[in-house]
Amino acid sequence: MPDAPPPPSSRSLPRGAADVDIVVIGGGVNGVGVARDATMRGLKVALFERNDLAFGASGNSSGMIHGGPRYLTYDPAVTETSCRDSGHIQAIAPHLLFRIPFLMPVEKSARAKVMLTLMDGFFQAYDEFQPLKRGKPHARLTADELHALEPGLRGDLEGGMSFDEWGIDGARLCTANALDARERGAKIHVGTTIESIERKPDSGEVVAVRWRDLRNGRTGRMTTTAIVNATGAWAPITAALGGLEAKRARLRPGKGIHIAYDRRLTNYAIGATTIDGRQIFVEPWQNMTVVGTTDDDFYGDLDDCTANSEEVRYLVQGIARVFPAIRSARAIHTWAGVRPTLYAYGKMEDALSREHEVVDHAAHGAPGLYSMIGGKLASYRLFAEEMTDTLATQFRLGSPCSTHKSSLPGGDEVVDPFALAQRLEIDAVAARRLVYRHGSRAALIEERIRERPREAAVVCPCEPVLEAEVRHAVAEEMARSVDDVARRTRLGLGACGGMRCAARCGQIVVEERGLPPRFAREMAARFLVRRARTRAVALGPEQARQEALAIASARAELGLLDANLDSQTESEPR
Amino acid sequence: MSAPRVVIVGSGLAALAAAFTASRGGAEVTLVSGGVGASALYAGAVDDVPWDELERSAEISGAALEARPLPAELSAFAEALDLWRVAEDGAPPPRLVTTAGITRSAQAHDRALLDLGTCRGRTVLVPRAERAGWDADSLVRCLRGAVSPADEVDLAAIGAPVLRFDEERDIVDVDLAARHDDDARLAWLASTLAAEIERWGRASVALLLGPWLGASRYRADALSARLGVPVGEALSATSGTAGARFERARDALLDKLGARVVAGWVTRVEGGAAKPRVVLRAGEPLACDVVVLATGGLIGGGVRYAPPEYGAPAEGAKAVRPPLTLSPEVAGAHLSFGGDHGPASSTQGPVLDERAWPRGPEDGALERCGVWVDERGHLAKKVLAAGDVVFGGRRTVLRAVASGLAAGRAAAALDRPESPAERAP
Ligand SMILES: Cc1cc2nc3c(=O)[nH]c(=O)nc-3n(C[C@H](O)[C@H](O)[C@H](O)COP(=O)(O)OP(=O)(O)OC[C@H]3O[C@@H](n4cnc5c(N)ncnc54)[C@H](O)[C@@H]3O)c2cc1C
Ligand SMILES: Cc1cc2nc3c(=O)[nH]c(=O)nc-3n(C[C@H](O)[C@H](O)[C@H](O)COP(=O)(O)OP(=O)(O)OC[C@H]3O[C@@H](n4cnc5c(N)ncnc54)[C@H](O)[C@@H]3O)c2cc1C
Repeated sequence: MPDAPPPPSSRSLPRGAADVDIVVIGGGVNGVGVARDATMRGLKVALFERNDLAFGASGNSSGMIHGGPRYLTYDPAVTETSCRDSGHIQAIAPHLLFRIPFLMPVEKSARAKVMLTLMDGFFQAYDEFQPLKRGKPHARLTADELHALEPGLRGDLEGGMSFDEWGIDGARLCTANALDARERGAKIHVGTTIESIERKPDSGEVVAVRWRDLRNGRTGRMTTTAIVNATGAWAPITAALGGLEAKRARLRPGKGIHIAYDRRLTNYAIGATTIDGRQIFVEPWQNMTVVGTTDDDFYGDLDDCTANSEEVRYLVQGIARVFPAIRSARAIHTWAGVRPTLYAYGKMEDALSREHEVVDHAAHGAPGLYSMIGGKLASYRLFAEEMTDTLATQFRLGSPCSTHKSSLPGGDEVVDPFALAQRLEIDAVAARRLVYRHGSRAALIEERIRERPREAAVVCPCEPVLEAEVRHAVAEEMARSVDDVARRTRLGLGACGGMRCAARCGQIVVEERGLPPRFAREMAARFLVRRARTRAVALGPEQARQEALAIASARAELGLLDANLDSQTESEPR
Repeated sequence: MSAPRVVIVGSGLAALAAAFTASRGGAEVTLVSGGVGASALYAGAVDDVPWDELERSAEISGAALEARPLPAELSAFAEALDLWRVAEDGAPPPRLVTTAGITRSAQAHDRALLDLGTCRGRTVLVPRAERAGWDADSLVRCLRGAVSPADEVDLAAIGAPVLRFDEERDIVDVDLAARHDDDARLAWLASTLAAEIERWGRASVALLLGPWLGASRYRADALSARLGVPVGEALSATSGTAGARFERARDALLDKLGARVVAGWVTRVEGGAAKPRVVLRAGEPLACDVVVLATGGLIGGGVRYAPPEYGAPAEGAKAVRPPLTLSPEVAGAHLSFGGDHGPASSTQGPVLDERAWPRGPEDGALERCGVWVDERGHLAKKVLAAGDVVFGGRRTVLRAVASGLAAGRAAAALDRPESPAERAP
């Protein structure tokens, strides 16, 4: 067979032969992870993200950096690796992680005692690895102890367990990786979709990508030596852009939703079971409470995926059985993401391949094209390392991975939020949030405020977010709209749903980007309507009243009839 | 024949309008006020059809926006309320400025709001103030982009202080507004602004402030008289300042009308053949000849939305209850979201996912939901309904007032044996 591609391992890719060595498609955690790793190893990288960094699963997950307890039963080595990597993420971005103590209540039943004993043994095994991620050992609790810890627990309980996990803000994790990659020389293009992948007609090798900036319609072509398809649940569609059959990047798209409530109802994450026996949870998140999550096949529009009221009801009913206080809280927003779950599980002896897989499409006649399928937030760094190792071999690079050794932006130094609050004369909560999101980089925002004290103004009073941080998000973190700012700063995601800050934020974005002022209103209205859609599915008595007020306010101040509020693409000047 | 006794439930614009015509019709009026509703939260703009809809259709048809005359009865009500400035017939409608940085039209408006139409040929000065939600520079920038050449106005941010004490950076808008009720404080404000205005020249400027010009009375005219330039507030939908001024004007008008006001929450209204009774959560029921329900929509609290999974026992609802309820409860009342939002649209209640908010020219289900009435405003025998509580129509001030006026008129006419109210469903 003369035109068969050489086996993947024997090929060697030249560096510097095209505009870039690698084009990464997708700005989720895996895409930015690879962009960072490959750039650190000396490759020239361009990343294209069609929507915004963390727009997909990475910004809409449960945000747990767990240590893989579920592999314990068949391969403890995998749990060990997972825990160690959770420890690595902690080491490079300590500011972004927060402890989530879990309570797992077990309801009285014939099997309850046996269950508890099994769980006890299971978590005892997990305790072995907890030190790798600075986790605390588990505890077996009686029903009374559970009630003492969380008086809101209801139901006839036999007892339960506590164990320890870590949480992270997925959008911040993506932003940090993207910033680091960019600072090391990668080019990051947000709001820019890849429309096609060009390959040589004879050898099938990748040559270039064609891109389009979705907000102003500009298009272009970029030549490249290799392409990494890191588009999560979009992966089959992306593979098809290069003329491959979608099944070459096959996965199961599993939609999951979360509901956020207006206040902190508990200090523990609490596990609960749904009517069909699935594990779900309620967890505290800063000043709010979050409930998650579902897992349903999803074959709809990945760029417009929102929770629906049936999903919300399913979760609320499950949680309310053990934690009825959830019914009294006000749902302030919901979010939905689609997991890129591996379609066919990998070989049993390699348990991690159950989670993710690097596909070298040379095997499908497309040398230079790779797909990252599956993965977890918690294992993104490992997955990126595996992907980059493959690339390094192809580019004949000797340099090993060092992404676990150097800090992500902001992770190099611990900052005292109270001292910051005092220096800037800002609210302590605002300072705490700044430090959480930016770590030592909070200094950049502090600098802005020193130069222009008026930027200490609070734009979003609910969260709270300062004007300087909004400007920083646009000027330094690639935010281009109110939605993007919200993803990076949580602006508008609090109790008022953006009513008090969307317009102001729109004005700042427009000003920082040098756009005509009329775009401010459109951006704000678009944000409000999108936020509202995510709340509408979880309306209860008080929410509905608040919602009606929000509509009246938005109508009075902004007007809601802009022709293209519903359309995905915005029309900005070139 | 003695005067008919009319009980009006609610204390918003619709209730007040009903009290107005019912008193004029010779009825003995009792108003039951449950608290704050949409009228006490409104932003000061007064519309018939939502302004955004009007402007959009004008844009499509290319026709210029024109103020339409108010019907005589509405005019009389507006005059008695003494709160709004109403555009003259055929004149271009007022152009208001909002804190979101846009300009918008209205049929009429709270007198404290600035109408750019009064500022032709002038530069509108916007003082800076260190308050969340007020950024003079950004407002100026946005408004410059928003005004058209035909408006003949320019804008500029100025540094003259408008806050007197440090704490005024943080107090809510309506509290700051209340400080300007005081004459001495208003004089201080005028004095800090005078120098800047002189510098620009009185003939060439106007002044735009936040929603701070009086909570119990509008102070824009007083300030304007002192400074000799047009003065007004920017419309703000979250401040509550205009709503506070409405509440004051309402209380004054009710006083003038001699209406009895009872504070309390009504739980049930019994209509039917016998004399209707209005049952309060606390206190003696009120007996009367006719009831006007002006309890507002979701905002006012007259309509409540509670899908079955809320308030249900922890094990989940066994019986499906209607998701919409009327407060107070009236036997036989029929509520609706309209169209496809009936209780059967899902096994567990209505699915509002896509329809809660307005979409394009369609109003949202939450705006529209309410109780069905017949063409004469009757919801049950001897029970009329007016304002936002009524299904359909648009949630605007003039609609609420017009329906309130009609309901009050009909209620007072009850003493005639074959009155419309007697022929109710
Ligand atoms: C509900 C839910 C809960 C989860 N909980 C956890 C958890 O607790 N812990 C954990 O570790 N993991 C969790 N996960 C899994 C984890 O979030 C995902 O596996 C991971 O984020 C996948 O990242 P990704 O970069 O591969 O994909 P994504 O984050 O989905 O990124 C793909 C990106 O590609 C972009 N894109 C698509 N097409 C194109 C194109 N043509 N051109 C340019 N860009 C394109 C998209 O806009 C998108 O931003 C959860 C996932 C979900 C859905
Ligand atoms: C923020 C905002 C901005 C607005 N902007 C505009 C605008 O620009 N232009 C415009 O034209 N319109 C605007 N509106 C709409 C307008 O204000 C309303 O349509 C109008 O005020 C409705 O009046 P109402 O009397 O029917 O209801 P409400 O004012 O809501 O009055 C209902 C009253 O009934 C009372 N009540 C309810 N149930 C009971 C009970 N069971 N017992 C006793 N009392 C009870 C409530 O306490 C309340 O006092 C706006 C509204 C809001 C909230």
